Amino acid sequence: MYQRKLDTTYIINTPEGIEIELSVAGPVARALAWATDFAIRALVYVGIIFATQAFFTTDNIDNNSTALIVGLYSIIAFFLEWIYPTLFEAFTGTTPGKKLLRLRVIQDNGTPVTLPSSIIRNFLRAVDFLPVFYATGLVTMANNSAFKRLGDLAAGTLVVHHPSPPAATAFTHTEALPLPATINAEERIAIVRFAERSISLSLDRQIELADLLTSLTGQSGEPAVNTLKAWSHWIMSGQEYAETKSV
Amino acid sequence: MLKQNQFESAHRSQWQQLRDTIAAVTSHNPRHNASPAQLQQMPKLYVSVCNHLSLAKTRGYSPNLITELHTLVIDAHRLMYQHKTSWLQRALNFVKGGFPQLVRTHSKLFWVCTVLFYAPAIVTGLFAFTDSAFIYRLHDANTVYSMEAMYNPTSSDLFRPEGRESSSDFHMFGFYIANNIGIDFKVFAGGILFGVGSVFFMVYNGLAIGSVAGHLTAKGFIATFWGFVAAHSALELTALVISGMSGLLLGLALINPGRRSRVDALKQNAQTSVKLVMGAGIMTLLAAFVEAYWSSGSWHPYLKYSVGIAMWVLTLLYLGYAGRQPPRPLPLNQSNHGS
Repeated sequence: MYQRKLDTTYIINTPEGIEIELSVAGPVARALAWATDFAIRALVYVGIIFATQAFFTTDNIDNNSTALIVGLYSIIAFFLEWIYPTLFEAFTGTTPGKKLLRLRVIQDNGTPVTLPSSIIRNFLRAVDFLPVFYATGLVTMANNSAFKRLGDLAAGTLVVHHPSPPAATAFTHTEALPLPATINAEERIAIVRFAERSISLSLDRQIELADLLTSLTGQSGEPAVNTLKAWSHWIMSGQEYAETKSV
Repeated sequence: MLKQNQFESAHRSQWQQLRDTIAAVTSHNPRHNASPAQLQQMPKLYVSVCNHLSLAKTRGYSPNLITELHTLVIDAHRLMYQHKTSWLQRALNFVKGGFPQLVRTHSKLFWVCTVLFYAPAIVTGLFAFTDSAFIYRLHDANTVYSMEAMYNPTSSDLFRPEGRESSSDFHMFGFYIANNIGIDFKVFAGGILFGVGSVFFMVYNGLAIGSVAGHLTAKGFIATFWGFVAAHSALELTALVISGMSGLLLGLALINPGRRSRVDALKQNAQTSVKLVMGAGIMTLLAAFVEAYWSSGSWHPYLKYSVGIAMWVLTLLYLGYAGRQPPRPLPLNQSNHGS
C-alpha cells in the first residue's frame, strides 16, 4: 500500500508482524543536540567551579580543602566527558540535548538501547571526533543509509526522531457525496489527506490545490474545495457498499 | 469494507486504554503508576493496536489515523521490548567470574598485548638504565626534572608532581581517575582504527613508563620509585593490557572478519570488547585508590615491596582462576554412546 520512498525512513519488522517506520536523524539535528548537551555540561562544570569559589574564599580555605576541590573537579570533568551521555542514554534512551530535539537512541532492531551498546557508542566518540569536530563521524554517517557514525556501527544503534502525535484530526464537513468510480485507492488517500490538511491551510491555498483537480470535479474555486471535502467525508463515513468483513 | 469512522468508533476506546497504560507506566509519579490489571492487559492491547495499524494501512485509511496509530505502536513497542535486568547482580557476577573468564577466553590476545606493552618498556628501560642521557630522547627536560624531583628521597615534594604544596591524596585520586581511566577508554576506542590506535597507545605508554623506570633506577631512587609503584602497578598495568585487548578485538573485526561482514563482525566483537574495557576501568579505579592512599604513604620500602608482590600474585590468580567451574560429571544417560 505504502510505496518505499527514497528518504531516511528506517523500517523495522516487529514480531507482531507489523512494520514500524522511523525517521533517522541526520547530522544537523544531531549536531544541535550535541551542542546543547555540550552547553549543559559546560554550565554544570562552570557552575560547580563558581559555587566552590564562592563558598571558599582565601580566608577560610586550607590546603586540604583546596586539594579536595581540585580532585573533585577532575572527577566531575571525567564524569561529564565519558559517563554523562552513557548513563542518560542507557537509562532514558536519550540525553537532555537529544530530548530537546526529540531525538532518541535505539538498537537497530528497534528496541531501546542497552547499557553495553550505550557504552560502546559513547566511548567511540573519542574516535568519531577525530581529527576535529566529528569529521570522522560525519564522513561515516554520509556513507551509510542510516546516518550511523563509527560508534553507532559498532554498537548497532540508531538515532531517530521521536514521532510527534498528529494534530487534531477532526475536520468538519457535514455533506457527503459519492465518489466517481474511476478514483483508485491511492487517489482516495490523497483526497482524505487534503481534507485533513485543510484545517491548517488558508482558503486561498485550499482553492489553489482544489483547482488542480478541476478535470475531476468539474468545478473550480470554493465549490471544488467543498466537493473534495464531501468526497472525503464519503470515504471516511459514507454508507457505501457492503463488502464488509467484521473486525 | 469498514468505513474509517466506524472503524475508529469501534476501537478508539482500546487505543485510549493503551495510551493511558503507557502514560501510567512511564509516569514518574508513584500515585499514577500502572495497576496490575493494566499491566496484565497491556500485551494484549498492544497486539490488537498493531493489528489495527496494519488494517488501517491496507485499507488505505487516512494518513492522520495511520500516524496516530503508528505513534501509539512505537511508544508501546519501546516499553514492551525494553531490557530490564538487575544490572547490579550482573555487575557482581561479572566481577566475580565473568571478567576473568572473558580474559582467559581471549588469552592469546592477552599475551599479544602484554608483549606490545612490556617489550618496548623493557627495551627503553635498559637503554635508560645504561645511558643517563637516553631519557631526553623521549621526554623533555622539564618532565624529567619534575619526575626526578618526585622520586628524589631528599625532596620535600615526594610523590607530588610539579611540586604543588597543596597536593594531597584526594587531589591525586581525582587526577588518577580522570587520566588513567580515560587512557583505558581511549585505548579501547582507538581499536576501531584497524587496531592502530590501541597499538600506538600501548607502545607509547610502554616506551614512556619503561624509560622513566630505567632512568630513576640508574639514579638510585630505587626505594622511592619502586616502592611507590609496587602496590598499584599490578592493577594499573594489567588493566592497560586488558584495554589493549578490548581495542584489538575491535580492530581484528575489521582486519579479519572471517565469514561475517565487517559491520557484523564489528558489532559482535564490540559486545565482548566493551566488557573487557569495563573490567579494565574497574581495575584502574581500584588502582587509583591504592595509588592515592597507599602508594604515597611513608611506609617502610620492604612493606611496600611485599604488598606489591602480594598484589601481583592476587591479580594474576584472579585473572587465572576466578570463575573456573569444577568439571561437571557426565550425565548418566549420555555416557553410553551408540548403543
